[in-house]
Amino acid sequence: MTANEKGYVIDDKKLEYIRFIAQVSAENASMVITKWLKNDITLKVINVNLTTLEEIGRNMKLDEDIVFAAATSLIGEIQGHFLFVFKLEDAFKMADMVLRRPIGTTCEPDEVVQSVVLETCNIVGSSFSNSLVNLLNIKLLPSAPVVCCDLGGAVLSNVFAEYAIYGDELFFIDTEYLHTEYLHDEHKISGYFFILPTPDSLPVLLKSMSNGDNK
Amino acid sequence: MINNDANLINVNMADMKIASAPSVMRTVLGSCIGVLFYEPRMKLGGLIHIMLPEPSDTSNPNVAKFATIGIPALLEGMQKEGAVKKNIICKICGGAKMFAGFSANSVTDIGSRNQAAVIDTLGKLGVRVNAKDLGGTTGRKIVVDLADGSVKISHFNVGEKVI
Repeated sequence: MTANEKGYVIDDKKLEYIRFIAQVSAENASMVITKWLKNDITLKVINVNLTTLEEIGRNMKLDEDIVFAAATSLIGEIQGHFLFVFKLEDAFKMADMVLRRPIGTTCEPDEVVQSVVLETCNIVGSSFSNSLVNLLNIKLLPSAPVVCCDLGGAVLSNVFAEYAIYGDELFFIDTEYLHTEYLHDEHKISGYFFILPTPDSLPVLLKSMSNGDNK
Repeated sequence: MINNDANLINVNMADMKIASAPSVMRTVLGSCIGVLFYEPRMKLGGLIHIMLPEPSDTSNPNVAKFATIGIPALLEGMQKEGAVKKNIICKICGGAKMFAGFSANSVTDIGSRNQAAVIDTLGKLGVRVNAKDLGGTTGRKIVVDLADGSVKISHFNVGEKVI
């Protein structure tokens, strides 16, 4: 059980509920992204947890990897961001899948790759926000995503600095994994997906969950 | 406080380390700022990876996260190891705005605010900045060679330079 400085508690039951929401959202997003990437794609929830942003930065070990990162702002009762991070080679694979080209064709981080990453962020982000809206009965709207391609450590430090204003241990994180179940390893895509609510939004999210329990 | 366990010393986000030659220190910066203090006669260096200008809550224990309290702490650490303030060379890098449109709050551009806070804090401490590479829209990997205090800066898709 973890209580933060504002006094609200995120217990095991709430964390379990967050995992449930993430699972349902991932299933919905899988169907949509399967159509988008024209391959059988499954989004798997690997971990849902409360941790520190610095800890995540250390564990991800993306410091010198070049990544594509896309972020969607959340507007409504819950504010914050969805953040997607793909290593360069995974972004290239996604572009090849969308364009129905042999894997390995794309090898430059050009505007096409950028568009594919943005659209993937759009699709998965919208799917997750729809699930949150339906399950928690809250108002939530994702904005158009923004993207950048740079050193993984630099991208994360930029994002985490924005949230570090609020403190060290305020966010729950959802790390996800994209992959195809039935295809060869070369078609496997790994990615990271974070839900970053602002601290002001966390009590709203928890309250919505409590309301859901009482229904 | 000196850390010479390995030749390559990684300085994480909101972290600071002090080491001496032959060690090499590295960190990766986005909107964050890396501040290096180098004492050439001792070949002693201190590097801090600052994330934010100042703490909103003074009870926050992570000193290295903030410019206003982290930089004085790094200077104090260097002096404890025998560095003389007037001999210290200071180099600063980072403070990029690389994620256009991304902001977790209305007061945006952490990179610019970090730059201002670092320069202000160094000024109050009476430390002159000898070299700097600030701003822009790309991240930086920096590698500090404690044999001579040189800082190699690598940008993705832009190239390298040494300050």
